[in-house]
Amino acid sequence: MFVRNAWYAAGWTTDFGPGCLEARSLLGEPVVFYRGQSGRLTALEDRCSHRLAPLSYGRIEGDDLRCPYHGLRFDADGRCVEVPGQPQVPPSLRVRQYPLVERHGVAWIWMGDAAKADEALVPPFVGPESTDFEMLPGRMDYEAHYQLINDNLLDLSHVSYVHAESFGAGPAFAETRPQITRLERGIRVQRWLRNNGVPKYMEGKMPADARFDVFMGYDFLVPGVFLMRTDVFAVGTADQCGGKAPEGLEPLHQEFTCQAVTPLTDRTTCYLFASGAWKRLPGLAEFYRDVAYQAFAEDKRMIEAQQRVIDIDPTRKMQATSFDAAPSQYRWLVDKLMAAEQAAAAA
Amino acid sequence: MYVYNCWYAAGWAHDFPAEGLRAQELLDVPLVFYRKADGGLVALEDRCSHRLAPLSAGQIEGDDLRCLYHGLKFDPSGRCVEIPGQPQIPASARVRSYPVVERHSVAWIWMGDAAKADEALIPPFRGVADPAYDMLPGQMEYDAHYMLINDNLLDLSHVAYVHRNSFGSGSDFAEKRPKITRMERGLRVQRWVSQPTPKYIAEKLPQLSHVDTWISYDFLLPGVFLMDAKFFEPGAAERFAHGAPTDEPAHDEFTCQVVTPLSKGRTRYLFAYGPWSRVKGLAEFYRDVSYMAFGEDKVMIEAQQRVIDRSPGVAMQPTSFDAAPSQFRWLVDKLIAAEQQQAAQPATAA
Repeated sequence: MFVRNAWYAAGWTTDFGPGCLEARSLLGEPVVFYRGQSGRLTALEDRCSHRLAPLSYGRIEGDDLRCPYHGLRFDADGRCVEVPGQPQVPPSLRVRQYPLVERHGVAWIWMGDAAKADEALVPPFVGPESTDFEMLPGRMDYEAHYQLINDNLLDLSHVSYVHAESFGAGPAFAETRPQITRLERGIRVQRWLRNNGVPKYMEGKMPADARFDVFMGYDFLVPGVFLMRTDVFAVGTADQCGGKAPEGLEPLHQEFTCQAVTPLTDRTTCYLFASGAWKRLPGLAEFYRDVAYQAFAEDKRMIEAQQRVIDIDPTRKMQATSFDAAPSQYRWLVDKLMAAEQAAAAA
Repeated sequence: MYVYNCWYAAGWAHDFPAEGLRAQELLDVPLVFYRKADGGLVALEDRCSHRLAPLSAGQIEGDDLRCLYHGLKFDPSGRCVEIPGQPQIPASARVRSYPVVERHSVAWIWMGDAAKADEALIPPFRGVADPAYDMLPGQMEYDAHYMLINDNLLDLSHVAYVHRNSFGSGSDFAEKRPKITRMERGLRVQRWVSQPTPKYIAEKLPQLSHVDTWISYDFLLPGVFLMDAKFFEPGAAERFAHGAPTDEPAHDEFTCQVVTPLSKGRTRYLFAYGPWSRVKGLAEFYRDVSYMAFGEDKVMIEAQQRVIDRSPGVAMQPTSFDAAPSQFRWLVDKLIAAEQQQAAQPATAA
């Protein structure tokens, strides 16, 4: 079960180099990505309409793709434009074309009704192309249902436990509940961590006894986009702001992380991420990337193990704690969107 | 879904050793093969009628096979002839025995009603023992439904694309449609192909830079492909008015292939390919070319199968090249339907 009418992150645009021809499953559907001669990135159904061979085994000709089995050629709209040896090409010979937009350093693909593919719905991503932050792209694939990764990102109380070795942020995450605000296509999660010590990953980069108030705010947007900014202030700033978001205050330090969760199948998920500091503190891009890989590998180990446990007895239900407000609300939002799409399809 | 009343190629005859047991699944049926003292090949259901243990874990005793779980012994007809410690053997203690005939270097097995196992229906195979051609046996197994392999063999337009690196034929295969003739239990597909001498054979035919090749094959139930290719100088197709040639060719080659379903998702493919026997020393060359080319088919067809498995409900769309695959599928469907209808009818008193 997936929300289909959404722009999914198929990969970093840099993953799709000139002349690339790559098969990828998305939402359980076989998709072939290729960059034709004009540089346009195209996504087609990876299944020739003739004998259902994979077009990804074929070759690019101009902006077209030729099936390697019997030579049928499809244009970038998915229309068959040549059947070798057969002058007539029936219009039914076509493969599905998926709308695709390259923006903010990400290739976004629309997996639903193409007529509804509104580019205004492309998430307001901030990635490695950002002019404010220095970030390098990362990626890992999970053997797990995408919703388990969404849950993880929507409840950061796990940071105190899962990431004790990497971020080393102490118990604050598990002890404070964030403020949660519903957005039209997502959830906003904000919190202050007051009088916080230096997290382990920043040791050596600041005085060991320094203490700060830290404001963390993120939006988690359909279909699985996580955009979080962390602002570091002097102790007392949280109270000065009355526990609300700091408005117009200059932080001492700023970090950003962007992440995107894309289901490949119902048990495999692509996870794109980039993290970094503002450009006033240059030269840390590789450091932040390495910390991210270490921390997200901790998540991956936990979530894949959780998936295996779930699969042992799928009848078992999860039991929410008071930290699950954001994951629960987001699941509710996704269920609502899926139900609406199904009702529209049935109408 | 299979046609059962058919002789299937269980393997090359030499795949079945003089001694020992060979377990093999065919058409989703577990079978055990062994040879009797006189060399005759026996095929039994590989499932003891007692506790369903595999007889292939048993031992041969004379012409019989003993289950090594509780010691029941079965004769080549599948009848239980001994239950250790029990003098009475009920008639129901028996496993199914399948008719087997070794002919044309292949072991043929009849998977349907044994009463209908007519040896006259054994395909007119020409195998590795055929003196007219110099061929070595080959085989591979596919993770794919057998019908995808039949489709492939029934429409050679794919040769221009899939086999560019092995056969290296020109585009004629993809651009001209062959003549198709229905036969009682199969299809005949014939055509002339005019092209530069294909890459794989160019070195062996230095006298011909271009060839007109008469390619004629029969594709017979349940999945037998017998193809003759006669190479002539350019112009021969015209000279024979695009019909079958009557002269001696400059070169002649033959290939026999047979597709046998092991299960719904797995298929055995036996093949041999070679030149006429007046050319010596090319048997290994042809075997190597065929392994390379059929490896290309295997990559494509297994990938196609994976796409199909992820595409429930998506139908294929034939092009004008699919006349032969479509007709053969129609023939197979018709036979399967007839067998099912017959099975559904109440038995009449003899």
